Amino acid sequence: MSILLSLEMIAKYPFTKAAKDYVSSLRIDIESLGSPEFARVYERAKFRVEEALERGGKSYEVGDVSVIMDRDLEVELLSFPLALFIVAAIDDDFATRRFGLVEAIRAEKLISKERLEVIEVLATEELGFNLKRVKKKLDKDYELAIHFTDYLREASRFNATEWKLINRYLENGYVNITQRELARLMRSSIERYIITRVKSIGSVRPLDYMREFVKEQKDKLLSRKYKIESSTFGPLPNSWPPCMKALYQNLIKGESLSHFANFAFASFLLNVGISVDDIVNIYSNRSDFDEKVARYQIEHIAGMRGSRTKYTSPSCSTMQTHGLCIEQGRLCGRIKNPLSYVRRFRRFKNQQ
Amino acid sequence: MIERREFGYFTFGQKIMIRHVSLKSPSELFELIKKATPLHMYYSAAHYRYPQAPMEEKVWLGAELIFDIDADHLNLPCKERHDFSICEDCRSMLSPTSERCSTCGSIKVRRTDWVCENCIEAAKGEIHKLLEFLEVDFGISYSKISVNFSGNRGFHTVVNDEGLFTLDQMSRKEITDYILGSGLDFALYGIPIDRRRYPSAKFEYTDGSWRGRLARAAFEVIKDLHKPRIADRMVKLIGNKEYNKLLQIKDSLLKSWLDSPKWDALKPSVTKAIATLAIEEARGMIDSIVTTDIHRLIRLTNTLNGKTGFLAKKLEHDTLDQFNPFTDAVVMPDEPCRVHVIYMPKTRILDEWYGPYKNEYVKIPTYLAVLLLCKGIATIT
Ligand code: SF4
Ligand SMILES: [Zn+2]
Ligand SMILES: [Zn+2]
Repeated sequence: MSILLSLEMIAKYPFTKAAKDYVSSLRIDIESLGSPEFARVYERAKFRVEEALERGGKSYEVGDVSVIMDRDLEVELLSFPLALFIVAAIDDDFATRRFGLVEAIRAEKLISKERLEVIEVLATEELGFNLKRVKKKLDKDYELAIHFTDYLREASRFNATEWKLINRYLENGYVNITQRELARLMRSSIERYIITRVKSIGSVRPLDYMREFVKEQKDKLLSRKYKIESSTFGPLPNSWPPCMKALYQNLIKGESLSHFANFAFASFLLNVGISVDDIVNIYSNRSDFDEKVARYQIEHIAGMRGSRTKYTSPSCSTMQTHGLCIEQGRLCGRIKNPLSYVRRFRRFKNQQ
Repeated sequence: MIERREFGYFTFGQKIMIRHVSLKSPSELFELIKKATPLHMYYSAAHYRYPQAPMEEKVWLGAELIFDIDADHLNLPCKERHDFSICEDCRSMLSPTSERCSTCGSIKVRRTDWVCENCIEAAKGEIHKLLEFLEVDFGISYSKISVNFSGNRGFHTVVNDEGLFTLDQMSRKEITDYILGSGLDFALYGIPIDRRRYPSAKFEYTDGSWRGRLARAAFEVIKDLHKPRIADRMVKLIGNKEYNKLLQIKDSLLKSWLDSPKWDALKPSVTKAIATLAIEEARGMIDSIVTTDIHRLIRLTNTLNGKTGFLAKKLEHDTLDQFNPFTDAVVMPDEPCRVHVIYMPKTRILDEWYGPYKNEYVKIPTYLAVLLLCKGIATIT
């Protein structure tokens, strides 16, 4: 705990309990943060929100320390709860997720530069990770191991094969990880935590001084949504099987899907004849959307890149293994592949 | 925590499971069993806030980590020898793969799985591998793991550890893949399976995790190259010519592998084949659907399995090795009973041999008669 108690530390990591305690001990409410003496706090809070909603954390990722942290530590620290409040006032699922993600990226940047002792305290005391020191030389030198339950809570959602448990060194319940990898796991955990913090504020009315900014942000979000919904096939097609409808709805809500779910959904869309552009558009609702990456992956599945094989969508039994089949297929009759649902639906329509 | 679980059961002659049953105490459970006399009795590995509610409203609180090992999924050669089919119309015994009756031409053909001691031994072997994964890799203590006979052809393993209770579906999928050896990336392990250059990776037989397991299993694969079990699969992977070459250098290869694996001593394609077989040897053949289903109902321990009349018995760790369902899970009475048997392979039960029977009336102990009736291969006369 002690390591975290300096003002610098809590400004770096404003989501910690220590930071929360410190801020509430100052007894400054959100209302008064609108007064001129806190103008810089408000500016910094707006920056945090815009960084999330408009730039998706790009400045944090490339930026120098001055972008990641305001030089005035007090300003930096106070801007966090204010930004949380503003995001709550914007009251939009996508905005909340995006804010959580980008704040977590910022934290990850800072964490990866810390000493091991500091990281350990953050990970164990603030995030509740079960960590252990080890000494193991494999492909890399490992000094840390994390309990597999904490590891899986985050890493089971990552795509790269090096995150798969089977490709890790797992011994007596602990998975070896490097400091950088730990920072990545912490980022996911912080992201979830920040999202919960915003949600726990609930829907609040913007205060006078922030009203204009909140409205501006809402308008921008709205025009983005309009773009997505006006894509060629409109709202939920009836011809899709329940599993794909569910995936679509999750995406529209801005949730991120597992690697497999993404693959299943994208390959399904391609096979029912939806264009790469339209699919990229659907994915643009994801909080961690990166157009270049998404386009690359979709083109890969479409067989326009790499091995040049066009993938068909995974079978119902594979969908079932991954927990994506809805009600064990009871709504679908006996089919082996989600694509059959569409074919049957179309045949049925034609007969009518 | 019986009040947090969902129960479900089949009664005699009913094809639909009665589900979403909630019970407050063990005595309520006994009452239910006495009243309903279920053919199969199940409970949820999951805990719910409202176990009796429909699935969407149950509120999942967590679930035990469960594994299912079934001899039926092990591709055993004995299966083809002892499984068979029966014509529902004229009651002839048919070969296991028949789709049409060779006597009367009917297509009402029902497949019957049989189980032999070899099946059970093979399933036990998988259980031992699974237990090693759970204890050594996952660090789960012995006292939190229980193994039950399923009452038919396999075993269930239940891990009751609070720390693992809230593992979500994706995490359980990762655990499943780990045990099944699925998704192992040779390149990440530094095993040269193509012409690319890899960071030289030092393997030790004493390593933990898949690293050590892969090393040890690969050594065994090379050692057993000549045995048909390995030879057949190896030929399939690399062809006869490469296989014979490999067989010739087996002894010198083993010598060079004595201290530690030397993956790069062979052609990439051969290395890949050895590593692939090593995974197949070392993995635990669990049913991935059971483990990843966080709402799964599993057979209630120490109840009768309606497919056999055997007891789905909880096993102590030190009794697993000697366990034989044909003696240890037999609980029905021994009074003789006259039944007509369509077909039964030669079978030993309670240390007594019976059969083979084919279309005949026999007088056999109740426990054997129940087994045949449950399997649908005999009728009461
Ligand atoms: S049965 Fe097939 S198509 Fe229907 S929900 Fe399940 S996976 Fe989707
Ligand atoms: Zn017949
Ligand atoms: Zn057998």
